[in-house]
Amino acid sequence: MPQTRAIDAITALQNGFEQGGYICDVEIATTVYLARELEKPVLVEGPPGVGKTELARATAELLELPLIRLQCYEGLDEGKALYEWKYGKQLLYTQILREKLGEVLEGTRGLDEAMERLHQYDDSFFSERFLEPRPLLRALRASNGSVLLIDEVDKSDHEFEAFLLEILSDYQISVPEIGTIGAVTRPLVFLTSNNQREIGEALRRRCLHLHIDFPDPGLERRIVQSRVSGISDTLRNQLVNFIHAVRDMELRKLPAVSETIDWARTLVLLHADKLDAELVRQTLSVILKHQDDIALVSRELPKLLNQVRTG
Amino acid sequence: MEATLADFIRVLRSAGVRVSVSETIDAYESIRRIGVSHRTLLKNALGATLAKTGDERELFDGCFERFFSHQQLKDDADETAPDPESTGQTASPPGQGGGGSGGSGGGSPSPDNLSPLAQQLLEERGAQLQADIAAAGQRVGSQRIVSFVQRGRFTRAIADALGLRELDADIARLDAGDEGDRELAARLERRRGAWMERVRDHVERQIALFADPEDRRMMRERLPRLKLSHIDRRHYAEMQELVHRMARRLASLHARKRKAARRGQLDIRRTLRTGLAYDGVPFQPSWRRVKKDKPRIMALCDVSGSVASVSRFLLMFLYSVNDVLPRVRSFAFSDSLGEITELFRELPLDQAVLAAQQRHGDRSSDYGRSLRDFEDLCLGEIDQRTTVIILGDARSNYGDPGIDSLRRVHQRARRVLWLNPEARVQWGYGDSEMPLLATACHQVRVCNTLKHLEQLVQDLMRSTG
Repeated sequence: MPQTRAIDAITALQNGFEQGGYICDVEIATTVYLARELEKPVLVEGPPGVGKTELARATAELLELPLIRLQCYEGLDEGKALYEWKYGKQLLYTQILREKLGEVLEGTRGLDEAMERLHQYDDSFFSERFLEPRPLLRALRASNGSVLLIDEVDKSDHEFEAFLLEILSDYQISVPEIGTIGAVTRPLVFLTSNNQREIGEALRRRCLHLHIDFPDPGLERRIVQSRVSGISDTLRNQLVNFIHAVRDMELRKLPAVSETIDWARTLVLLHADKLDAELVRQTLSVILKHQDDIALVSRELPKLLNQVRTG
Repeated sequence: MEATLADFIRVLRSAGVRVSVSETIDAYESIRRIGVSHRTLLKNALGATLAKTGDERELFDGCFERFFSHQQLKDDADETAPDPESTGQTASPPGQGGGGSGGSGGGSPSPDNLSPLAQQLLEERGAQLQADIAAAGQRVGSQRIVSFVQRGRFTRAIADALGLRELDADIARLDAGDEGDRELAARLERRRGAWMERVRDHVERQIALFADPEDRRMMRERLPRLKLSHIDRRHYAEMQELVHRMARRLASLHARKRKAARRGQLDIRRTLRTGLAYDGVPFQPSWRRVKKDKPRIMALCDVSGSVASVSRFLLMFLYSVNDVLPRVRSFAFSDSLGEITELFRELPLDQAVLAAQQRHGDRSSDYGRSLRDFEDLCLGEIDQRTTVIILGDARSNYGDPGIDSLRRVHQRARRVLWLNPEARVQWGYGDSEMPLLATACHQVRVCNTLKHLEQLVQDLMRSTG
C-alpha cells in the first residue's frame, strides 16, 4: 500500500533529520517529503532564528546533496543570481584571436562578405564557455541534483521575485543568447522569508507553504539536548521554561531557538547546573539583543524565575 | 474522495483562503501519496499545499477541524460519493412503500414489509444512518445552502429522500393495528424523533460550514461599490481589510515599475568612460538605467462631520499605500488645518485615523482659513513634482472659500485634484463653492466609493510614473 510507505518515508526523514542534529516535528518532515514527491519548492516562513535556513542545510546533509545558497538582498539581479557573460574573457579572446580572425576573413571581399563569414563563428562567443554560472544556474546544472536555498527572498525586489517564477515552476531558465536551459536533475528548492515584505501571490502559489514557529517546550528540550552536550536535566528544563516565559512577554525581539542553544552553551561553559538570578542577569545579553528588552526582563526576573522553578 | 476534496476547497474558498486550480491538483496528488488514514499527516499535507500564508493557515486549521469532524474521507476503494448501497436503498422506498401499503389491506403488517428506513431504525444502525444522511444531503445539494432560512427546506428534502413519507405511512398503519403493532409504532415514533434530530443537526452543520462565509463573500463583493457614507459601522473591519488588500495590490503593481530597464540598452558614454582606464577597451559595459521618480503627494482631508465617513477611508487608504507612495504628507482640516503625517508614522492605522479625526474634526469646515493654513505651512515646498489632493464637499458655510490661496497652490503644483464625495448634480447648490474652486483645480471628480479611491491612486501612479 503506497500510503503506509509514505508514512514510513516521513518517519524515516524525521529520524534522519534527528540523527543529523536537526530535531523537527512531523509537519516539517511531511512537507519535505511532499516537496520531493511533487517536485515543488518549499516556502518556509516563520520568525527569525527558528531554523529555516538550517532546514535546508539539514536536508542537503541528509540527502547527501550539495547545498547551493543564494542570499537575497535589495538590488539582487539575474546577473548575480543566474548567470553573467564573461565580458572580459570574451574581449580577451577577440584580442588574442585577432590573427586567427585575419585568417578566417582572408579572401573575403568587401564588408558584407566579411560579416557573412564572421556570422558563422559568432555562436562560439556566446556559448556556455563564456557563461559564468551563478547559484541558480549551478543548481540547474548539478547532475546529481542539489538543494537550492534561496534565503530571505523577501529582501529581494519585486522584479527578482517575478523572475524566479520560471525556475520555480518549470525548473528552467531562458538565456536570450542561448535559449532555454532546463534542469539536469530537478533541485529541491527552499525559499525562506521573514515576512519583511509581502511575498507575491504568484510565487506563493508555486510553492508548498511551511510555517515554522517557535517549538513547544518538549521539542525545544530535545533540541537543546541534541545540540548541547553535557547539560544537566535540571538546567535544561529550567532554561527552556525560562525562554518560553520570556517569549510570552512583549519584547522587541523574541529569543530564537539559536539563541536558546547559545545560552545553553554559555551556561554549560560557566559550569552552571541550575538557573539563579545573578547568573541570568549576567548572561541575559546572549538571548536578548535590545537594551530595552534586557531592562524589561531584568525587572521581571524574580517573578520569571519563580515561575520557572515551580512550572 | 475528489468530491469531498472539492467540497473542502469550496469551504476554504468561502472562508477567504484563495485556492487555485494548480493548488487543488497538488492537494490531490499529495492525498494520493499520503492517504487519508493518518489524520495529522493529511492535515499537514493539505495545509502545505492549500494554505499559503500564516493567516490562511489559521483559517485552514479552523475549516479543517469543522469540516472533517463529521465528514469522513472515504479511501480510494469506495471513491464515489454516494455509495451504491445507499442509493439503492433510497431509490427503492417508493416502490416498496407502495407495496407495503397495498399489503396492509390484508393481515397485520409484520416488520418484514416495513419500509427500509423503518427497518434501519429498528435495527439501530447509527453509523449507517449517519452516512445515509450525509449521502442524501449531498444528493439534494445541502452544500449549496446559502442561508439559515433554507434550513427547513433542506431538512425536509433530506428526510424525504431517505423515505420519511414511507416511514410515516408505516407508523400510521401500525398504529391502527393490534397491541404488538401499536407498540412497534410507538418505538418507531421515538426513533423517528431521534432520527429527525440527526437530519436537522446535519443541516445545521452544513449551514455553519457553507452559509455564513457565503454571506461574507457577498458582502466583500458589494462593499467596494457601496457608497462610503452608507457603510455600516460593523463593516469597518471588513472595509479596512479590503482597503488594505487594494493598497497591497497597487503596491505590488507599481513597485515593479519603479526601477525599469536595468539590462539591455548600453550606456555608451559611461562604458567609454570606464573603458579609458583599460586603454580604451570597453571591458566593463554599463547599462542604461531608468529611475522613476515617485510622486510627491500632499493630501488634504476635510474631517468635518459632513464628510467624515468618506475622509476616514481616504485616510485609511493613504495610510495603506505608504509603501508605494512613501512621500505622502497628509493634512486634516475642518475649521483650521494641521499636519498628521507624523501621526500616521507613529500610530497604528485605526488609532491614527481616530486621532486625526479627534484632533481636527467635529467642527464646521472653514475652507478659507484651512487653505490659508496650508499655504503658510508648505507653499514653499510645493514644486512641479507635487500633486495636491483635496478631499472635501466644498461647502464653506457661506464663508470665504479660499480661492486665492488655492490659486497660488495651483500655480506651483504639478496637479491639484479635488475629490468631492457629493454627486455632481449637487455642486453649486446651497453653500457649495465647487464651481468656483474648480477653476483653480486641474481636475475635480466625484469620489464616494472604494472603487473611486482605487482608481484615483492608479491614475496618480500612471501620471507620475
